[in-house]
Amino acid sequence: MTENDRAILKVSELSSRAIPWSRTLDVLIIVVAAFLVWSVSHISFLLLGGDWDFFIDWKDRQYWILIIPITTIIMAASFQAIFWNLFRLPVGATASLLLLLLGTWIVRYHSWQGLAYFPLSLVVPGTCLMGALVLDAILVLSRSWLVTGMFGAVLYGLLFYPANWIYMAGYFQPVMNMGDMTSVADLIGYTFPRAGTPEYIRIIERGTLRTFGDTPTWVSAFFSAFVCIFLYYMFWGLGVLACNARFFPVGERFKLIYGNKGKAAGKAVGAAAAQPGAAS
Amino acid sequence: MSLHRMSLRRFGLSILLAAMTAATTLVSLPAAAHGERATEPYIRTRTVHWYDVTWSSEKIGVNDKVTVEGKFHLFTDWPDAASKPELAFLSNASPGAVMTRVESYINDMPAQQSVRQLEIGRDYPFKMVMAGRVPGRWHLHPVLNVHGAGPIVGPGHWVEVTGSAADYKLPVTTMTGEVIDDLQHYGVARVQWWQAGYALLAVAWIVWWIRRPLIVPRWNAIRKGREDLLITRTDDRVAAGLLVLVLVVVIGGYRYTTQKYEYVVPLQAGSFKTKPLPQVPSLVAVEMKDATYDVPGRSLRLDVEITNQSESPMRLGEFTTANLRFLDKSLDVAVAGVDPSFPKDLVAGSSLKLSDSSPIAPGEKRTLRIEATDAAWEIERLVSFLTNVDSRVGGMLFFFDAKGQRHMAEVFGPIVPVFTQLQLAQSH
Amino acid sequence: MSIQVASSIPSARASSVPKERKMFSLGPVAIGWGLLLAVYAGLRLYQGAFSFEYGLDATSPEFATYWMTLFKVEVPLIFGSGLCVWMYLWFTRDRDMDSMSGETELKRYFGLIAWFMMYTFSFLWIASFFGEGDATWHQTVIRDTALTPSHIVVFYACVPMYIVFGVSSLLYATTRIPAFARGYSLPLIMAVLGPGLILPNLGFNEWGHAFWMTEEIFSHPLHWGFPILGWTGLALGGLFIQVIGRMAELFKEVGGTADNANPA
Repeated sequence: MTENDRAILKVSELSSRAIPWSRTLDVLIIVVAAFLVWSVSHISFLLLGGDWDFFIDWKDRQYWILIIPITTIIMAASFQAIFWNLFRLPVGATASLLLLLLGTWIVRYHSWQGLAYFPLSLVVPGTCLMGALVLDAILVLSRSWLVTGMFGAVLYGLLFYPANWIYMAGYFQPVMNMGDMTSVADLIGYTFPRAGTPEYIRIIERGTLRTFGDTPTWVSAFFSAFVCIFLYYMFWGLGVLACNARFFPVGERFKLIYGNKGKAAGKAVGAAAAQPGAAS
Repeated sequence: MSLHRMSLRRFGLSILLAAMTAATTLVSLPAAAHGERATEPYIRTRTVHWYDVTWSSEKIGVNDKVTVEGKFHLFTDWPDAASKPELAFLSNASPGAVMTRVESYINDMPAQQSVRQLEIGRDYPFKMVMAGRVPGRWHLHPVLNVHGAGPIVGPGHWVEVTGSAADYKLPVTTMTGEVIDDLQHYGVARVQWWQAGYALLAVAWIVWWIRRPLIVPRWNAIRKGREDLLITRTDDRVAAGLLVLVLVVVIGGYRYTTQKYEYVVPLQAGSFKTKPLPQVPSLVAVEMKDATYDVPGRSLRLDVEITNQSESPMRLGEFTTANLRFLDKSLDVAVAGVDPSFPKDLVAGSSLKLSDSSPIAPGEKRTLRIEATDAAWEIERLVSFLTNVDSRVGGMLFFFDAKGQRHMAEVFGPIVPVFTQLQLAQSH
Repeated sequence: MSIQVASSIPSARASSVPKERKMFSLGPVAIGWGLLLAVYAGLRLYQGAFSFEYGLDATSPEFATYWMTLFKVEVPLIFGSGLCVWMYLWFTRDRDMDSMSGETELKRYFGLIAWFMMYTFSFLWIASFFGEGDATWHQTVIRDTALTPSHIVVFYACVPMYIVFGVSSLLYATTRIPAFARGYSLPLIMAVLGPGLILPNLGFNEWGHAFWMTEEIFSHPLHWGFPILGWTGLALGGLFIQVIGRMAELFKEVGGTADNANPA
């Protein structure tokens, strides 16, 4: 235990008897929070941007780079808001993306490969984890959701492409297929058939009118960064809203049925716990 | 079914299964259909008619190839509910990636991409080359995915893949000269190592925070205004260090990668267009006068007016719809038209019954009653007329002239189900 | 299964308890997790063995045997078991909240967290494991029924399962913890009702797939009800405030105050 830890315990006025309870509670809340963050991050991403993440032949220059950051930053922002407001813990974004990545890999192995025989090369996921680390780090440095949204969310959007290109670039090498040039990613998608996902169903770049000197990927990354700012604020707000600790008053009958007798029944109705203020 | 799938999973499942299926009989034959039976009959009988479909082999080893080829006709009486084939993709139905696609063509054009503006009323040849990947007995269908209409499944045939799945390999050499040993595993380790590195940073960051007195102590400290204790100068330094580290890793890694992969291409997305087969002038005019389906008798009865516009006598040899083939078995040339590789369960056991099977003379106009009777109507769920919003039926008639040459004609129109017993009940 | 930690604790002020007793016991939760894990693993193995084998054609007799039987068994079984648990929680409710000791109340808060350990664990399986697994099925085969081998597991086993635990958590809180018995907790209701609404949301999903969506795109607006209802899980933030706020008080009330309690 560090000096700082002892100082925190001292301020919190816990007795030596209560400290083990407190540590037990820490562990339990970590477990509940981890399951929650994992679940909500995955279901949210899955049905808002999942298709681009499932398949290597959906990872295009226009939508993949735009959509993955904006569909993952939302839960990163909400969980960041919750953990920061309640406990000043700057781990919400990182936990959201880390557990999402973990869950994704589990499913890629057990289901895509294990159930339907698809090779992992078809279903490698991307990740915004590096952006999430930046988001949390900037929150620590700035102590401000306003500043974090302005700089962290921008970096979150911008970093996705380069951080993933490091290991995805090889899939975009040119290769010949039936006499036509295509990419390795396309070839993988073509080779391992998906009856429910015909080629035309891919929502991908169907041709750029102006490629801005072969930099359409960066154009998408910048647009993604722009959208990330707004979504970060909106979903930080949702996180704050979710921390509403209100109890609605109930009628006498409800109180009696639930074992509240006598004058005590009138006590504490609607007494919400004090809500900590938002940062900055 | 593959042997490796059967072994351990099956064993572990036996207890679960026993409880759930105790009162039922287990049928050991795997399902042959791929969901097409739930597709509305008006789609299956009036959109894509597959014909002359052949399978080059019934048994292949892992890595060996099987070719499925044939033709499809796009029906004139295309139903309103299904989008027209403005954008389509030639695919196949198989349970997961048990077979891989090596090549596919529509009218000899490579069909890696989707094809646009297919013409209704015209015919297109297709070819698919598949390779065995996972050992087992698999039902292989050609499929035409039509944007807005969904998958329209062709006839399916069993293909047995033998050998070991571990032997499957797909080496590829890129245009830049990089040799990829096996496309199945390409790049996966690289992705995993990098992402593991990212994850390690993330775990370290989270542990850095949660190792401390956490929930109630921090909660109380905030209430007492002592946030200074919760985020210290050391934390600031760690956060700043992390920020720099992330930027250095990403920027450095990106620069290295762009130098390593100098030539990259985006995903290929353009669709292609191809011509249909040359249009053959129709030498037989067919008009449907009446169509009924005898529900208890499982028999489709068509009254059609046929005009032979050719200079040769014609005989009707085959009626085909929704991949089912009804042959006039007394006509050898029609029977010979069924390739030995064609699935037997899609050829009706009983002969096509005609009110008059004598050749139709040149210039003659004749009204024929055609009866196509088979349990397949029920099995293939093609007779759900009562639940159909579009009670029309369609199919192809194959005529044969004196030289044995085939002439095709469409037949379509409204159909009325006949519930014989119901009518009897009403008459009483 | 019941993981009641404290329902039988006698009322006694903490200061008069001579011997320290455990506030929380992991045993019941571990057993619960183990059972759930066995069920989910069993379902996954069942899918592995019979999905592609007998699940591709909803009109086949094999489908009826292997898949519809599972559907017809699991739904009443899970909701029936849930009903028993709910009835148990209801009929054994604390009928005298006013005289509850601080220690009992604290243990019950730990009990509530135990219920949430079950609830969030069971939610994980639909939201992550079988949820994305659903894409594996519907993006690779032709959909011919609302009750596909994937849906029979993810929607009609996994969803009822977490609804059972969600409602149990709600009932445990309202029947045993004073604060939740005196008022409706907004975040608790949100955290239970929101994900629970995923079940009726299936109506919209299947309507779209039945009438106008012929191919599977996971990110399609037809599916957005699922993530939006999933977001209601964020309400656990508000619940943490209610729970931890009171537990922090109880730590002092039951555990006593530290001698050196003054802020540094």
